[in-house]
Amino acid sequence: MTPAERQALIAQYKAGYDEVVRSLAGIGPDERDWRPAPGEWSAREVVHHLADSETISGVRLRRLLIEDNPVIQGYDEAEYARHFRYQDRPWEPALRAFEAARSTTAQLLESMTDKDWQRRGTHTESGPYSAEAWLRIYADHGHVHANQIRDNRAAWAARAR
Amino acid sequence: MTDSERIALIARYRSGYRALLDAVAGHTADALDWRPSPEAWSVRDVVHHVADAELTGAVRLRRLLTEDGPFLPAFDEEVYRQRLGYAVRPIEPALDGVRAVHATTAELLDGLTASDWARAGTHSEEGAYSLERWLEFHAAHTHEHAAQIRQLHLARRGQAAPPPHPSGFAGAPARDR
Repeated sequence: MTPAERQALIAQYKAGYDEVVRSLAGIGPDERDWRPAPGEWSAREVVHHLADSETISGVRLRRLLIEDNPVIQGYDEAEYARHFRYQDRPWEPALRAFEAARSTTAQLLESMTDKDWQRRGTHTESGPYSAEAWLRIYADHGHVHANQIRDNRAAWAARAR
Repeated sequence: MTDSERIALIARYRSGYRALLDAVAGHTADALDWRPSPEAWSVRDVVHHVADAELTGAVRLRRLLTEDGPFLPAFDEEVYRQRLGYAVRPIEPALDGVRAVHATTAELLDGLTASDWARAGTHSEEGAYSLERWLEFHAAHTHEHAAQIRQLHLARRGQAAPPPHPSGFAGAPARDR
């Protein structure tokens, strides 16, 4: 990955929180909790997923930078959603956790050297896992879920009509 | 641990951010970066340390609740401090991080059952690590560092001795791992 490619991905990473906030603008209470199909997440569940996933990813990056070849434990996001009652918990703290995980982690990304970017660990499910792989995965994670929220809202509008 | 002991520790956990913010509030940039000796931690270091330790703690709690006997790798606070640029990073995102991660994690603590509280994992240095051990540590952790910050402010003005160890906790049971 060239420094310019990394810079573009870091910029996307830093824009992810605002993108999610934009996707939620003006959402109503019923719309927020509506699941487009059984087993799919509501907007509220997506926000909680972002909070947990981005907190975990922040710790993963720190461990990649600190430990030699850390084992990065996979986790079951659907199990987290059920076990941690995403659909029942207020979403404001989750949004703040998502924002804070990104803002503290972005501070680290900006000062990483070429050598730091080559550091790697081993993911329990996907195998070798470098700092660059981390960046590829998380750069658009906020955007992907902002689009999911927009799709939910479009489906909600179509359903209510 | 009795239910009322757990409830008291959860309340203590919830109040840690406010104690930290109060300890930091109103101090100038000079005060944030003052250290009693070259190897000692500054207030800025302490705030970043609390943010990273609490972020790590939040992930550990979620792993203890969803995995059977998870292996929890140690957290070397001094390596984190040196490698992750604590001395030069703005502290506002770190403070926001402590507030947010405590808020989401306290929501989980409130809903735990007796069988949840009996769950445990294995820490790479401490060995057996139960959910109750997690709670004892994290209920106290942010408050202890708030006290460390207050002591640093007094020491800077010559009104108290500096904390006895760079991180403030040599030999204390709450040393971060």
